[in-house]
Amino acid sequence: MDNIQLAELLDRYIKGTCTPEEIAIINTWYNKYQNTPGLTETLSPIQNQLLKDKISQKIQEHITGKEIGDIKPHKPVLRQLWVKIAAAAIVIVLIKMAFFNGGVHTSDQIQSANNEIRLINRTKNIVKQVLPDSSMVWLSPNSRITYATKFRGKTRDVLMNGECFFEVSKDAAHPFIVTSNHMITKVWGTSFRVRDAGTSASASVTVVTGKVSVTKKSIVANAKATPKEVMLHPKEAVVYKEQADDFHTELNADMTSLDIWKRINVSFDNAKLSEIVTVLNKKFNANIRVDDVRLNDAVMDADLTGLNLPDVLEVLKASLRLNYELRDNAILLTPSKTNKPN
Amino acid sequence: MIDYSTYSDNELVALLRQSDVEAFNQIYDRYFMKLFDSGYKRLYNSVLCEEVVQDVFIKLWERRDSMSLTTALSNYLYTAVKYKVFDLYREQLVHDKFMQAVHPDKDNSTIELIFLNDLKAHIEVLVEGLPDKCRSVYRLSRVEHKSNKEIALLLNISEKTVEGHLTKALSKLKLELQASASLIVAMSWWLK
Repeated sequence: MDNIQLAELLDRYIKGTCTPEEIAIINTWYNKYQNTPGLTETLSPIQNQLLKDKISQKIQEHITGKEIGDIKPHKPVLRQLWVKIAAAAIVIVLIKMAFFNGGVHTSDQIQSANNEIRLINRTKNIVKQVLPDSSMVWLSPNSRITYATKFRGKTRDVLMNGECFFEVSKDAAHPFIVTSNHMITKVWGTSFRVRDAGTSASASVTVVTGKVSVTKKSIVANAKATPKEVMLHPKEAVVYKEQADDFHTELNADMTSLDIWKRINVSFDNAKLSEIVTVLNKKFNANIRVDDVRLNDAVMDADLTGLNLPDVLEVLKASLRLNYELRDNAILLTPSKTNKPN
Repeated sequence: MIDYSTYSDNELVALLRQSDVEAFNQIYDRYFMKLFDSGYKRLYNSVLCEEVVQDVFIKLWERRDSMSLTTALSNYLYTAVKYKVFDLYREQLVHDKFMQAVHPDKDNSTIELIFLNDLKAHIEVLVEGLPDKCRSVYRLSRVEHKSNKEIALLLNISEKTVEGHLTKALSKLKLELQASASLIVAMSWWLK
């Protein structure tokens, strides 16, 4: 039996024109693998969640793209779920905290009794989480986030520590508010970055597109702008100095460190990892290094359309069985250690 | 707020038919890992498994109106995965043939060839077990798709004899399969 004959047999199987014997032959073979191990049992709960969210997002994008006319406006849940990612605003919140230097390398998600979700990223990877309004957040190592299982009321409130990147779904009626150690950042349907460095140092917010407002933590956040609130426009940044307890506005902010969050349009066909890394470094203005030369020759086909760097790293992890580690300003790719049972 | 996790599969299917998004999400929650693994066992490639799961759920949503309750939801989903897996095999087989013609020195396989070769071997072993004449008739008929008349001419036997060999081959295959299939069914029940 050659490839074409097998292909023809499978073709008939799919079209339902096989004889009962042929169907039985194929089914018996298929069932032989029933009890071999799957992939999800080798992954940590957070990795499974990531995988699940990633595919869920793709499914929803596909369905939304096709059936946009089906959305019933009187059902708010539908509107929330099918919000197109294209309409999303981008927020980066970067805050470095001193007290997460523990040696535990797991992420835990705790759902407490009062319907709050607390996620702590203790891995060396960037961990992605989808929020109830389908906004997405990527947590850098040693970061944590707290939010409600359902956003109720007039605002979407998120509490965070560490370094997070947000892609906020657009919903002008419900401002998205990020409360961090030093400040409160409010999204007015746009994209921007917040950086808050340490308890003793400084904090900053950089805007990519649209409009954002920043308030010092000590001031009570109101829905309407108060005089103490700083409004920011694209390519503008505000720097907060704890010593002076004051804001300083920069009109031409450095945008290069935002490049890893760009969504790229690249696909690879039978490419070596070394080649892929070269392209990614250029595209994302990043510093990805292959830590083990044996990995360089690993070959893959990958469609990376519409992914940002953390997403791309997840694809590489899953398909090349490697791991990555954020170290200083570099991203180190290492061979995956033997899968440990959960 | 209704907790969808308390609904049975059948109740979720009924809600899905009314385009209930939460019901769809609950089904996804319930079956994502199981279906992903089901594909992974036969593809050993997580990127392809993502495609499988994505495809299965998109079709579930697109066909929600015509979802019938005649088969259990789990059955429907696992079968959908199976068809998608075989579809990917088929694509790979055709792609390989094409790639061999264009780049004879390049190996472009994305699916582990182990599976394709094992499937071929599985079929061969069953056919190999048949008596000589029976086997050649079966091969000509089922693998090379020759008509009974052509086979009769080729092997210099009557069409009646061809039919006889074929019936014998098929019933013998059936017996073999029933023996191994019942064992597998027993095992999978045991492990549930």
